[in-house]
Amino acid sequence: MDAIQSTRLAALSPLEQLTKSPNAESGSFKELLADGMNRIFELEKAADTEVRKLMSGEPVELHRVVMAGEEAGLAFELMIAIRNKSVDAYQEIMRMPV
Amino acid sequence: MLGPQTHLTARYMDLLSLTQSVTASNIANADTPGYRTLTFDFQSEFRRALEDPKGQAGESAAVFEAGLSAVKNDGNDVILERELRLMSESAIRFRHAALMLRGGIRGVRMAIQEGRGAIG
Amino acid sequence: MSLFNAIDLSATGLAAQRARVEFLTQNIANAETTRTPEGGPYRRRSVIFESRSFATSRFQNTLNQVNVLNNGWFSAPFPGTSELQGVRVSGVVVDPSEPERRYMPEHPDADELGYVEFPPFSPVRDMVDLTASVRSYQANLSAIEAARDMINSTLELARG
Repeated sequence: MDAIQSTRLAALSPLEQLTKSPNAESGSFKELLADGMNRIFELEKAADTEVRKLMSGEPVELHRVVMAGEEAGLAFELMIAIRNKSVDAYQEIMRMPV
Repeated sequence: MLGPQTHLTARYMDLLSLTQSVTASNIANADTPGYRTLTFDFQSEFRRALEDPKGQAGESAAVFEAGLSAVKNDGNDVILERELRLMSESAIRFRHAALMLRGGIRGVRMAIQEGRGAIG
Repeated sequence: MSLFNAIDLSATGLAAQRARVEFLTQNIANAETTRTPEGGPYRRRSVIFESRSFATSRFQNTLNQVNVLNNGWFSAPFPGTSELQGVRVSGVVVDPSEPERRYMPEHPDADELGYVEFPPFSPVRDMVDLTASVRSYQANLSAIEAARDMINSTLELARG
């Protein structure tokens, strides 16, 4: 459940988190994205490792290989959703009259 | 991404797969003279997983002779019905666990897509 | 992967039972055969089953250009479960028992005294064994189907 909650939080309010941060600089949002990207890289690497084990006949269970792949995929999908939201939010700000 | 329950479910599926291997060994040797039915302690292995789900990944499980009492003249004690029953049950449980995981994956995906465009 | 290993183990069961069925049906078919290519009446055959430990991954061996054990299993499950066994036919025993002599002077295989040598066994035992063997064969088949079912469930996980 906490995965779903944190997903919604992240997807719905990147701007809100930006304004709440003490320095309110784009740096904190950049950090958010950077953390996300790192997470994806780690999960993708883990998934690759499991697949390699399966291919070379090393002891690994198929369901773990599949799950690792799905997890990496979901993290990626999440980042795409965040990016989309961020772009939308940015464009909305840019449309505002000064 | 998939939640803390996932590690436990994965270990559960490990143990169900092991059940399959053990029953396969027993069934293959149903007529082998001197062969004794093999088993492992599912309950205690699962309890270990409950205490430390993440740490159990890729861990082995102790497989040992079940010590069934009905030994035939040739020293073989395999009961085919027992093996087939265990095998059927573990296959059903495995399929159920896979269904739960699939549901979990879809749930997270729906949350990411906020229900829009999510496949039912 | 445990499930591949399970299928390998069951496959050895299929092979062994099939060999057994072949010899049992041969015995039944030749229960009254008085003349064989090797001379004399048919002699009953029995297969000897022996457990066979699984080895390390055949794929790994292929990659390492080393085939330590013939027909190694596809891949290892958990480390430390070397107790799991397949089965193999380690040999075929030819029944050395004395043939049964029946007085049938008109028979083409009768000797100078009018006796014909027949196989000294009744096919009933082989028929019973045949039923058991077929049942075991089917059980091994069910095991493979169950493992395949589980593999399919796993692959469906990735189907979105």
